[in-house]
Amino acid sequence: MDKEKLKEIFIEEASEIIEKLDIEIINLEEKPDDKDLLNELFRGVHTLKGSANSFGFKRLGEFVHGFEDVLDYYRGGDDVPQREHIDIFLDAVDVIKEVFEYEINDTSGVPDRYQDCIDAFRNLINAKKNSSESDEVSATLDDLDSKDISSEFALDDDETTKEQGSSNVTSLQKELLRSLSETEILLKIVLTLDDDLYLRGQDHTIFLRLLKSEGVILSSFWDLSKVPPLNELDPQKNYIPSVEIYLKTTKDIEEIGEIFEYLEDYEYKIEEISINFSDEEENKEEEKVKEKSAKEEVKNIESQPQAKPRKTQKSENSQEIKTPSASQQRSFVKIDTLKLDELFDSVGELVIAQNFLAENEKINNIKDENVLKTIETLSKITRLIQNRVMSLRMVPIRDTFEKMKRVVRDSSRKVKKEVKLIISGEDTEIDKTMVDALSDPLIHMIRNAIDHGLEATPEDREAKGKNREGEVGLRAYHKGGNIVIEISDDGRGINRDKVYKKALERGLISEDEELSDSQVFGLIMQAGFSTADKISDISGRGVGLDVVRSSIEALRGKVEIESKLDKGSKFCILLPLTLAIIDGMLVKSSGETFIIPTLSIVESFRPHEDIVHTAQGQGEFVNLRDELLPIVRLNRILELDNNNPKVCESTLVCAENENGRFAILVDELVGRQQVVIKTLGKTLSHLKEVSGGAVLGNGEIALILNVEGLYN
Amino acid sequence: MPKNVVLVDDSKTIIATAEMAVEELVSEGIINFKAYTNPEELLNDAISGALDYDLLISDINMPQMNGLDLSAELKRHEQFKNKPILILTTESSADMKTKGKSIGVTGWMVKPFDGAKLAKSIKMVLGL
Amino acid sequence: MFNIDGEVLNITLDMGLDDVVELKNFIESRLEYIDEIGIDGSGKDFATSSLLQLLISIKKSKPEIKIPLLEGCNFELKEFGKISWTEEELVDNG
Repeated sequence: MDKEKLKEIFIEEASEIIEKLDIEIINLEEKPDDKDLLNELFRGVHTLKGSANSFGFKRLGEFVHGFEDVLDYYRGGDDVPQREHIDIFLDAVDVIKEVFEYEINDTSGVPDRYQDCIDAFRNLINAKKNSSESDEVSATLDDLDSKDISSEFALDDDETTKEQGSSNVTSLQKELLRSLSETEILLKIVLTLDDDLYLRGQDHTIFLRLLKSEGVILSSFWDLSKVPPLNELDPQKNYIPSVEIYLKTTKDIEEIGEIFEYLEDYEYKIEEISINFSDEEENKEEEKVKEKSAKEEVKNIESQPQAKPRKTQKSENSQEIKTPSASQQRSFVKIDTLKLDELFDSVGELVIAQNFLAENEKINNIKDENVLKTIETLSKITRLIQNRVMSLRMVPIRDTFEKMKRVVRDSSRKVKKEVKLIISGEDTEIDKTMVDALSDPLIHMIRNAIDHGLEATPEDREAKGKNREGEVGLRAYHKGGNIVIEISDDGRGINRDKVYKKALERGLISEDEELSDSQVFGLIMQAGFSTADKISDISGRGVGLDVVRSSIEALRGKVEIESKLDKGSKFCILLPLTLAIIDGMLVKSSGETFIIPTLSIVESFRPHEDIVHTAQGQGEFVNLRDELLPIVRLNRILELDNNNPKVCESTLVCAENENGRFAILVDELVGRQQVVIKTLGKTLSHLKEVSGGAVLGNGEIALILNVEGLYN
Repeated sequence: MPKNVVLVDDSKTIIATAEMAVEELVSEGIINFKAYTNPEELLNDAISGALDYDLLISDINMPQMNGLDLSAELKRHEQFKNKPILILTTESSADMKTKGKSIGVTGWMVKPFDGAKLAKSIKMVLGL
Repeated sequence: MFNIDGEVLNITLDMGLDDVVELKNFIESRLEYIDEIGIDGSGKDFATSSLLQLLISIKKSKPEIKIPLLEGCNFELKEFGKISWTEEELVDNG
């Protein structure tokens, strides 16, 4: 453990807490009287405060302290936070995020709203306090006062009895003093420990041990007069009301005093016994000591914090009735994602090796039933392991969706539109490695939906006969080997003609191109395109839809857009279930095997002569159900060889990319298979037609084709 | 024989800080140090006999169980009745101290603690 | 921590609180059979003051029992110095 590691742990923990805060506050807005939520919030903030302070991150610690006080107030009382309070909470979380960054990057200063929020907290608390709490507070202080004064008197009693016996002790003390060396002082320590001494895990001997390490214990006097006979004795109770210890030490009185830190003030007394010494002096000494402990009493009173409102009975009961949420009933193990990746790789190798076995001719020719059966079992188990390991990396998309709640809230506020977010399919699972990369594109698309998708004002919507409140939908589900995420809105819809015209103007398309509706809509995600009349700052922040599209494509997914004028639009993100394994169609061309991601395949077929056409100077086409698809000869485009087999003697794989549909000509289809993707080295990775490699069962290497790069 | 010191706190940062603070004590064989983030787990281990301690340091505010309740529960068992307990708190109230005293906690330590203070307190309470 | 040798009970000074509880329970029912309590100091200091309590309590319950260590109302320990005590009851309240 070193400072760096400690800092990492802190950052991890704090980040987790801060992320949860956002979500919990939004949930709180929907249910402001939910005390359990408030408690969760309080606890998160409380832990954050403790951790921040232990790091010396004062700015964060102090800020969070104010927040904590406010949350403590709400969780313990009947008062319910209103909308404007929730706004303050959300602002506070933003400030926390900023201060957090400042602290860990060691930047000086505080973010803009830092002081405002702190003031807001203070005002909030003061306003509430002034109503009814003040009486309670002063009452408690009074109680404390009287209690301490009485214990002061108790001290006095002890003093007087001691005085009586002191004359005897004086001569002993004089003798002890003589044994002192120059640097040593003689201390008299009186322990008047309570009867629950042992119960508190303490013992006279512990103090003796500690004292002996600070000096030399000369002598001790124990009052054993109160010890009862055996039948009344409970060894776990302390019957020794006082022990007087004489210690000679080179340390000073304060240092020795630290030893008794965990005792009550009345349980011990330390005095220095010094040389010039008469009864008068002794009294003065006693006075000084009395004064000292009296002063301590006063300090104690002052340091008692304000009384906090008591937790109501109601909140305790609500704990019992509450049904534990799904996540509380299961138990979890945290796994280092690095280890998971390694496991994944190994399983990938296992899959490949297993495939090898299954396809090996020699093995398949073994007539032994048992061997064949074993291989089959092996194959089944491998598939099972593969699925289970894959599922380890799958997490429900819920958290990502929850984050969007805040985005909707903020955006709708900013552009002054009324928006309702409807989430469904949040249990749908997605590969953990994709979750982070998905966040930004989702945020942007939601902002886009609110900013551009929905009508400019609620009034505009009403004029169309719609509800004032616009609906933004966020939905996730599995389809085939993919996960689909839909962002929909019931707003204006995309104007196809407008988009077409603009794209033409910008030179993104040419006049004679035949484009389907979805292709036209897709144009808005091309770089350098914008149909917004004015760029509002929330979605025009330098992150265009084109960046969204390329982010999705980097995840090997695609975005499809549907839209109906005045009804609304729907953006569909299709993503493969996992990044490391791809579902692909094996094809052969010029003796080489390639893999085409099934995500991009529409269908494959063996064309009849009649539907194949050649247009002068424009290449070959195939007529598939009245759609003319350009033919791309794989061997040519990859420069494998110059063969020119007849189209009707080959297989066509109809694929789709952002430029439209086309047909890839290959020699034959081999079969569909899941393969583990291996990234290509530097030399090959710049090839736009190829996106990776895979090792097949027979040991062969197959290149994975990048459909986007095959047809422009 | 090294003494067994156990810490329970739901903050991993606090635990990591403590681990760093007692490193020397541990390497010198003065104490063994074990940390829990879940008081229920600690309680189960203690009751089942899987855990024994010479000193328990406990946070107060934990999601599963309050530190004082944990202490009270542990002290109901003969084995832990007289073992010292230090409570970690960010601020102390007269209420809590009274409750603590009636349960029999040994002392209170304020969070954030500094490493040296923690090591010192451990030695002090155990009389080392 | 302790053993019986005829009518002599031998104990070691450094027994802990749990042992003291055990010892108390052991002695309570056998007090009449024990005439002497021998303490093996062997240079160790006592580990809990509860032991001292127990020894005094035993003496109170059976004044004729011999506990050499306690004779003279004081004894010297290696590290803890001279331990002395008073057994006389203070007059009433205290």
